[in-house]
Amino acid sequence: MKSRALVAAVIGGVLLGACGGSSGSDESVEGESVTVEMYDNRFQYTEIRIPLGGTVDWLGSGRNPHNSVAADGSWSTEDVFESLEQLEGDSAVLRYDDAGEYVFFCTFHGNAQGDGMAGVLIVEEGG
Amino acid sequence: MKRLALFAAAAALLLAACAGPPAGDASPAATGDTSTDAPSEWTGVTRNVPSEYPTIQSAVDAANPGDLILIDRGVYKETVSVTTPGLVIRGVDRNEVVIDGEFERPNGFEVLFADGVAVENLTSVNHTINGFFWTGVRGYRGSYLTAVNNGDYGIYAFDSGDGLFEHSYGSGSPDASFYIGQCNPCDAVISESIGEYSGLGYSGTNASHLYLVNNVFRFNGTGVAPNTLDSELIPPTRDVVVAGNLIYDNGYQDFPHKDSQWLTQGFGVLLVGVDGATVTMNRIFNHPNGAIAVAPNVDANFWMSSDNEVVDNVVEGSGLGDLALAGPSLPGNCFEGNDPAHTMPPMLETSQGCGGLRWPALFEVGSFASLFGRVVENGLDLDTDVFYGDMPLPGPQPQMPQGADAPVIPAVNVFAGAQPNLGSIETPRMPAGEEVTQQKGINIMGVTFASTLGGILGLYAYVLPMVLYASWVVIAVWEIVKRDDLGRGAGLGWMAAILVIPFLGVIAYYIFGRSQVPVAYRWMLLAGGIGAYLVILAIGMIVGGVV
Repeated sequence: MKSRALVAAVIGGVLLGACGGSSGSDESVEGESVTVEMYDNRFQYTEIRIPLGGTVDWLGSGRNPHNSVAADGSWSTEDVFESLEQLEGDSAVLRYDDAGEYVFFCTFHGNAQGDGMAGVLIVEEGG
Repeated sequence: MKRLALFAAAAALLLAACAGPPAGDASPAATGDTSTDAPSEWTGVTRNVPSEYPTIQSAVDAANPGDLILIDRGVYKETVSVTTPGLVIRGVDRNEVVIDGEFERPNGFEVLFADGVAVENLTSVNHTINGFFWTGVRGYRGSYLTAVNNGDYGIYAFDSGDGLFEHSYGSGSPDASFYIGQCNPCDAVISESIGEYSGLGYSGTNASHLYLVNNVFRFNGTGVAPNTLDSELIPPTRDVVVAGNLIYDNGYQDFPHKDSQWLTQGFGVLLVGVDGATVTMNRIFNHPNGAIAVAPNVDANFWMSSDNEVVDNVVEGSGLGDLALAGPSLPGNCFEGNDPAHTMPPMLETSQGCGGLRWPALFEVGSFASLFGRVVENGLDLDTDVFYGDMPLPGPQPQMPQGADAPVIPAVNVFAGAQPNLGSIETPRMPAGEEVTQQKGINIMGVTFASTLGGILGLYAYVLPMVLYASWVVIAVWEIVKRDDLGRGAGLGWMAAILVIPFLGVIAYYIFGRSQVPVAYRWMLLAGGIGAYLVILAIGMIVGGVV
């Protein structure tokens, strides 16, 4: 019985490991600690809501380099990752201590007007 | 049996549950919506740079849809971001109007959700990401452009439809000189252009219904690579036509590359995970692997190629095979009229011709087994380290006819005028001074020795399972012959099962046939070899960074 369970576990693990893809999602997300994948060439979520003091993990998930930068210049993944070029698997976790609504964009594939690869981050006071 | 069915169902559910591509929608412009915000005609207004506007960006910002931005000679150190539709942005001299990123700025030109923008007759160099970039647009055109030593792509259209790149030149990009991605139908054409000294001359991910005609792709890692990936929307790539191109000498030089370009080097045309492509009337020679190869692609999903037609090309000078079909693949890939000197697997045009019966060849994996070694080499950083800024600079490129005085035409309804007539395409002649130099390389059962690890690990990945299987069969049959406790009928029955039912027959014999081989040896024979094989593969995948 043990050996059957082991075989089943190994096969199941191989099957799960083989797929390894990104999970599907809507375009908005809310939470205290949020991960946002940066695909080619779009953000996983284009509207993100977090409470004051919440964090966003900006995770490179494309074949091309990406980043996330506030249109008003108040924050950037470069602050943490020390480069604007995050490749697949590169993570930059930012903590947000100032409430507000921030347009963010990838400087390579969007612009500060919210065109192209861009979205909105809402940091809610008392959220 | 019930357990087997349950397991199969569970496996199917597991795979189905995890194999979805990232959610989201491609733009309407990239999926057949023909509406456009761009005017189809010039407004008659010309905005001159730098005599009226000191920078290109300032002229663009002042322009109305349908204006002409005319740029005089000079080196412009800026990124030009365009969000106004229907502009025509033109240099007065292709070689002397230069946008220089100085290896600091990401893009030379970026056209963001602005339909119908045409960029003409100028050069973009030394950007960390792209030379020219259109995204989310309906209608785009790049004519007589030069893109040199840009860190991702040279000339690039993404999530866009109705486009043309013509008479343009791209080199020194680690990903590709020309790239079109995420569109179906793309309604796009790349013609009369040159892509060289890049990871790929052309790459197209999830880019369907487009034409590559009468181009030159040389000195890259691989020449042309339509492909399917889960990292972009609307897979797979379908209905690509590659016709009348001159493709040669890819896979020899040091070239800037990303990981995937390093792994797949040495092909002229490589269709990976593509459906319904037509590759015809091309001249393709001198490649360490193959002139034309059809193969699957692995990402979150396993994308198999199907229904691709490789017909009437001139293919010469390939190390592995002038034509190659690597499995697993879906049915319908066919090869005819290419007159190859050798193919992998052998006699491909006979077994997989475009007329009549095609023999099953869906699991031919030898052609690509040596990629496993490349994966490990890449993980160990044994790949060459080439900076994209160090690629050779091209000589002066041909000017756009009439230059500054050419008709001003926004990029509206481009594809209708650019779609090629395939009946008029001819196979390019051998260029003067070039000759076929690549000889058939050494390979064992299709595993090449293009690199040391590629050869060793490729053989391990491909040959060992067959050696193991052969040893199972030989030992089992020999034992049956020697056994006294089996009657003749039972012995012949087991032999038939072993010889007729691949893999399962011999495994059944060892488990249920009361084999005299001690249990420990049987387990070592059956599971030990496979276990070692899987461990080696797993280590290779981990070292290679695949998992």
